[in-house]
Amino acid sequence: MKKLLFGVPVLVFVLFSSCHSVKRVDADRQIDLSGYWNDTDLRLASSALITKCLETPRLSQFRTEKGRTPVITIGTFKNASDEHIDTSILAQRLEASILESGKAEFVASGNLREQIRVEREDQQQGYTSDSTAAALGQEIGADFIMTGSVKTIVDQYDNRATRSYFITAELTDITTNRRIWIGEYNEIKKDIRKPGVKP
Amino acid sequence: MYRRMRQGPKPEGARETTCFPLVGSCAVLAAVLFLSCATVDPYTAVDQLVETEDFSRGAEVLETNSKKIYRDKDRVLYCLDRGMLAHYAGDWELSSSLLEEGERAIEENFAVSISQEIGAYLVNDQSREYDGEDYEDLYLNVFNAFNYYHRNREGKVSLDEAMVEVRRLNNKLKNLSVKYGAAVSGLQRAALENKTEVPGNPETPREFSNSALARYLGMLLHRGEGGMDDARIDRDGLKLAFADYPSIYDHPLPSSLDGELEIPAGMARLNVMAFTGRLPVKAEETLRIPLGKSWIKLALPFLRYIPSSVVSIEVILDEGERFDLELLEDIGKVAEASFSLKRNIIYLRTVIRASIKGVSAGVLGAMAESDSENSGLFSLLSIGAQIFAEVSEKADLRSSRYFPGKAYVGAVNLKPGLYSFSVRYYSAGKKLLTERRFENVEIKPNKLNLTEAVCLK
Repeated sequence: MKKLLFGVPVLVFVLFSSCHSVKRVDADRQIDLSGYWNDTDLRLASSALITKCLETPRLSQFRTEKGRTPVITIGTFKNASDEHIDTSILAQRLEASILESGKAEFVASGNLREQIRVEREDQQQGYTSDSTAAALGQEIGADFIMTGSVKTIVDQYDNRATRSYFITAELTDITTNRRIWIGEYNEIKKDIRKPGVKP
Repeated sequence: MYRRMRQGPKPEGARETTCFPLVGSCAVLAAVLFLSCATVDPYTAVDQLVETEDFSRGAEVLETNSKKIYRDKDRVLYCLDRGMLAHYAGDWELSSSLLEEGERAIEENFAVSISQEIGAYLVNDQSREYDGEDYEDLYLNVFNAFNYYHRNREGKVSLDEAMVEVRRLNNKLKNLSVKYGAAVSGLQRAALENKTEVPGNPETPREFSNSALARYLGMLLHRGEGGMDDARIDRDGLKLAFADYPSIYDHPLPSSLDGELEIPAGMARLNVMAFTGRLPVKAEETLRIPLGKSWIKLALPFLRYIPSSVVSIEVILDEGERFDLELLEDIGKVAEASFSLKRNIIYLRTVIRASIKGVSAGVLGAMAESDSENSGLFSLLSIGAQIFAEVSEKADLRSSRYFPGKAYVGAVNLKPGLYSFSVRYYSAGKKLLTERRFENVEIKPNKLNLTEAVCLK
């Protein structure tokens, strides 16, 4: 009887511990599994860069001087790290936050710009009514281009490694090549220890 | 006195010199019957397709038979083998995904499993998870960099992704040199600065911690991205690899190396990397040492070379210009060096394990003789122990099979434009083995124009 009392809970534990499970968690919750770049790193880096970018007086100065909101296009966010990081997410978060703040406007860049041009050309082929076809030559030129990069420094010995991330974003004046803002975030450093033994 | 057997064709003149007692013979017979289905090499069908360079079909057959070939413990091997076949078949995306999974599995297998270690001493070395050799961990990044490079040429990904693989390679090389205590000597530094021949460093550890192939690819990709300082560091690293590991790099530095970082203004450089042959595979050698009425079976791994027919490779442009490709790295020698360093510990573990099994069977046999009451029981246990030793004592023959055996390189400066060319592989006597055609390849200035050609014959 004692054996049965002991055996049943063990059996139940074994059965349940081997089940695949999915649990929804708060998107802000920090979960570090492998030690590589993850959503928490993205959130920390983008929040810091957005704050710095919105605080820069250069955007307000532009509005005062020119009497209009500055227009930005997104350039390359280079992945100069040793991980396959999708840097477009970082760029999109920066774009969305700055746009929402009303301090700057964005124009389409890269592949999206090409897609729009193809669509606009298509609307001139006679299939679209003149009253609704998008006009040619009305694109807004960007004042600034936003670029950035993610870099890593890895130091490793035996089963211990540190991974440090250096994330930068820059705004460059397209007319003058003048850098009007550089933001950097280098607060992410991970101390990773792999277990030496396992059961 | 012992009996020696090798898997595969019986060597000419081999003799069996030991007569086994009846009990032992029964055990061998039972073990042979038990194992008769398992001794067929499951790779044969895949190897035949690889030999005919039908990599897509080879990958399909490997996938179909993967459950027979690979156990859960062999996830690294499956990823490397399947990933390399996908690479040769031109399925760059699948190859990347598999090689990256293999890399993660190698990282995860860093921890030593206590239960598997015990299993390795009681059953055989195959009880352990296959955690990959250092050179496999490096070469997977080399070929994954190629995967991303090809995808970049197709306009699917940024070249940044290939650079990620190069950075991972550099981190691993740095880690290996720290792990094994490799360092650059003062004389070597001076030679690199003065552009003279780099001497070997007598303090260099025997463990392989620098790869000319990895350095070469890093140099090209850094140069293509305009990172000339990083390219120079990789070129110096390549020279150090040749100087520090003369048994692996027993051939001259490729002559094209000198021109890699000095491309004349207005010219573009075409680089060709060709891969040939296959890595040596592990095979089993069996020794049986008599011990009273039983014996100790030792199953030891050794490397079996797969000969390559390729002797020389040349590139011929349709415009008439031609150049030879030169040997950069003999990957087979890297695998051999890695195996020879581990061989002693493998042999020691095998002897300890086989002795425990053999002595156990012997002790049970002796008890059967001395204890007349339980003689039958002990005889059965003795036979069982001997059968267990016969069946379980196997060499660990696991290693990746589809990395190429050798890497050749060559380059030429050209005026920017479209070029068509052939990479020709020759056997002895300059007999043409095979030819790879590359049509209308755009050679751009200040960019990396790299062509990869593969012939595993």
